[in-house]
Amino acid sequence: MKRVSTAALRRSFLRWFIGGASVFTQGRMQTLGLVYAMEPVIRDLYEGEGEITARLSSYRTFFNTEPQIGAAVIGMAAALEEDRANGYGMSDEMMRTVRNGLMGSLAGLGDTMLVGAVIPAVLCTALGMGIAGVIGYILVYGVIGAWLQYRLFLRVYRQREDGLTFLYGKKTEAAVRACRHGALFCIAAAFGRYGILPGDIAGLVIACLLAAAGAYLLKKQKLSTGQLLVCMCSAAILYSLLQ
Amino acid sequence: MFYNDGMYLLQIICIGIIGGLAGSIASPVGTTWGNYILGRPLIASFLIGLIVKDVPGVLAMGIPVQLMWMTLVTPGGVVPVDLRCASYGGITAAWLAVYYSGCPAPASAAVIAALCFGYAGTRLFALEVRINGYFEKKALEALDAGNTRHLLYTNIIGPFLSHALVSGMFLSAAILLFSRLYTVFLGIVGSSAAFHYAGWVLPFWGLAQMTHALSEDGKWFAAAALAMILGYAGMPVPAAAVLCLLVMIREYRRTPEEDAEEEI
Repeated sequence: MKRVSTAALRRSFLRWFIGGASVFTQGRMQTLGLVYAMEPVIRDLYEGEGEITARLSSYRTFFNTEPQIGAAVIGMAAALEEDRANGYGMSDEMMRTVRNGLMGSLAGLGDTMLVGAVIPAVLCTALGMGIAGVIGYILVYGVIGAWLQYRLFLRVYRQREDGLTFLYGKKTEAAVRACRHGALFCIAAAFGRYGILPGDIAGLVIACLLAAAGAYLLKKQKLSTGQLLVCMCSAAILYSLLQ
Repeated sequence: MFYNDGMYLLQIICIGIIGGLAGSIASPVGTTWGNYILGRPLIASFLIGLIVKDVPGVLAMGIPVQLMWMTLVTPGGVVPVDLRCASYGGITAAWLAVYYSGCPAPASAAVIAALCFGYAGTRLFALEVRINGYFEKKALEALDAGNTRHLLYTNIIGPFLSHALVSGMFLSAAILLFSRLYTVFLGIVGSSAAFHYAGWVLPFWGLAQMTHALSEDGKWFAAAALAMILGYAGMPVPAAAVLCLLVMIREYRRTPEEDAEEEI
């Protein structure tokens, strides 16, 4: 029974973490990052340069995901590759279908939860703490975030699809919603503290009303972000002339 | 003049190289450390502050830029705004221009410069993607030839050098050129109330986009307004973080009945 060694798994994760999107292109996007990350795993499972090259070539298809939560896709790809090496009848087509299915859904989850909510909430907290906040953000997001990605990668590799079910359950849905609303609350508080000119109550009310109206119009798709930008700048200039 | 001083030119080049390495999506130091740490305006302003030896001054300019693009997402590899260009290019150029013009509204100057750099920076991202196309071609050719060891050069060393040299120099040159023009511009309009308010309202444009992206219904508009009033009243940030956690726990524990009620 062939098993991917811990060293190869670590190398694979590290390669994805550093080089997952380093050769991002408009055509294949993160394909080369996936190929590079899979090399240690494939080298561990197969022998002979010919077979290794052939296996790596099967990863040359289009690949794009949210790179942080996307570590799970690399974990799953390593697990499937191991199953294939052990003769469990994994075809390239089947493996590609699993990867494609995961990359889209995880990209959506990563963009909504991590980029759209967790990062803003942590940044807002860091915002008010000066230098300590900046160093805190680097440590919290850079170190703990990296460690969590590695844990996710290992979990999915070890448990296969069972390691992913927690990402698609009701609890995750609730967590995403909680992160979004918590982040909005935190961002608004940070705006109140740092984004508003001191003593300018009228300006505060006007800016808040503009932001609320802008959000409403964006939601109703009555205005594009560019048009909103022009409207808000015009309103600010008008307000300055009235002062 | 400032730029003729070798030491200061070196500082701008350092900032350009860090900005180049931060990357937008295609970061050669990894997405987490590059795009989501180095590329954020708050972290960038801290690093720029260290380099120009004015951390509080540059942080004060970086915070409104960070507020403007707090929840910038790049879905499907589309980069609407190049945040690291806005951070490293915009904030540095604004700091230099404010330094020379004596503009009384540094935050507004930073936000407006960041907006220009953010949108213009998408061209730099396009250039990086084109350069990556070359590395991709070489990597695929090497794979076809059975040379898997070549991937180290095409995936790590090549992008690192191209970001540091091409993007870094491009960004440094843009900072030098833009800061000169911006100094002249700030000398003309920098003291006007219109410039001051236009810069001040821009983060609220970001807030409108964030509220649109994060809120699900009107009650969250009200919650955001309440949070803003609390922040304005002087609520300290740790208290805001605790309230944020409480909101998150409350939302996480929401019952299916409450969900159904909301849907109705």
